[in-house]
Amino acid sequence: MREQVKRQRAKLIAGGMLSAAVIGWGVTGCSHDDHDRCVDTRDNTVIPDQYCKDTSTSTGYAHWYRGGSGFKLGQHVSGGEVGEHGVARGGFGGHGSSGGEGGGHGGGEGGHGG
Amino acid sequence: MRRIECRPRDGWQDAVESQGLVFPVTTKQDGSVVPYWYESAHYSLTMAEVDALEDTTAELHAMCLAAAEHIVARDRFAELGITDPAVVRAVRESWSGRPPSLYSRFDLRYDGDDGCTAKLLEYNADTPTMLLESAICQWYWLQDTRPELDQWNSLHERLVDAWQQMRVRLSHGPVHFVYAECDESGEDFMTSSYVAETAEQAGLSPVVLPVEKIGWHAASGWFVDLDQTRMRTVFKLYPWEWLVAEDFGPQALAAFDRTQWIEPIWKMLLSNKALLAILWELYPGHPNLLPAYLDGPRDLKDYVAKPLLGREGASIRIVTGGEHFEQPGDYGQEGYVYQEFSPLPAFPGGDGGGRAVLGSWLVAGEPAGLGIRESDGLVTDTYARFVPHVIDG
Repeated sequence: MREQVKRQRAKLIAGGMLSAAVIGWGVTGCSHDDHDRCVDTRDNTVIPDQYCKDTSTSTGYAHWYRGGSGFKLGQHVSGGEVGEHGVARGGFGGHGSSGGEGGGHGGGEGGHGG
Repeated sequence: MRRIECRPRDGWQDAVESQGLVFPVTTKQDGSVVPYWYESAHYSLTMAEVDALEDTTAELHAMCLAAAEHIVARDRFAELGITDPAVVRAVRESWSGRPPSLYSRFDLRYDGDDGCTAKLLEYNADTPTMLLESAICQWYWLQDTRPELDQWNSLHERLVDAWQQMRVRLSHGPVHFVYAECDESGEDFMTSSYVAETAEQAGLSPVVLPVEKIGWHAASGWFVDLDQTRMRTVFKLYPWEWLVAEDFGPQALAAFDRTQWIEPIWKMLLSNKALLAILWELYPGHPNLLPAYLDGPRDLKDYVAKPLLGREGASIRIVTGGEHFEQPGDYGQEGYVYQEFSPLPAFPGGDGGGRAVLGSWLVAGEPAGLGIRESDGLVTDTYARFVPHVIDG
């Protein structure tokens, strides 16, 4: 019976999402939201991130902004998309490398490999 | 187990790339290119060997679960370097509730022909990779080259089945799959995407995003994705010891009853190499274990010092024949386990042969397949290559 189980591969589909993933793969690096900045939606200028992370209603004007132009504090933004308020991002990922155990390039945890 | 040289398929690189393997070759630091997917050879096992390895895998997993129970019951977290009370509490609660686990992989030393049993080198229980090449690429290689033979490989079906079984224990809504964007090789993205595909085939709705993009919505106390959808179930290819130590670690622990993480946090007990010493303590002389200690090499003349949380072979030290070999790296502050050195068996070949390590997979706690990597040296490092296998005889 165990042999039978090993042979059962009736449906094996490596398309769809995985293909899209491969096609779409590129080295994005550790951008950490380089293009997301906090914006005062009353005058569309870049303000410190802390206002967008603040969950109080007093800073409801502060929203994340993605795309377009204008990146530095005080600069006017345009051409992008207004996002959320009250959400902090970037709190994970600080280790800056692969989290995998034991494949080819990223892992390699095997043998007496650590 | 034998190593057999063979002719690679015409267009093998395109073939494995079309199946999703984003790094069929490895570029070394000196600019030279070596294959990661290597089909100029394959390993051939008998069914009797596979049955024995399957039994060994199941037994080792049962022993590891018993060791986890022992660690929790005897409060031995500190020996694993787990000292944060909040983490200890979360692991305890997780172990008690035993939320679903999807997969894991043992690394075994095995040389087949000399009658020796497989020896456990380590347990990759939290974020194992090498999955796509094991589940998909080597299966298609078998179909293309030796369709009359078999392979120890039910990984894909078992992953889909595991998701289906798991569905009743998951919250409604999408399942999020997160990976480290900083992994420039694409391995983490590839693995997460493949696991997401198995979930999709099980009828779930996957959303793949970098771990760096996870948002914390403090007002509601939920992690949210880029569309601000609450992240109720998260498959993470990102180690627990990193998650809990980063800025969102306290939130992850505070929201522990809301977000279901896969692998669950109790896997910290198994992915920590202190497990090797605790196993040896609980099962001294077991034929599938190597002597291992936490307080030093004791009477071991030849040993490997492995950082408890090391990866990629970094920071390990091999002491054999009075000589020391050390891999560079930044691990080790968390402590070491000292395991008897048992060199990987060398399989000769006209192409230079290789030293093989067996990756024995489990899905939902059941043996599920095999992936073999081989290296030129004693350490299976980032330049190791994946070599497919067959069952023949």
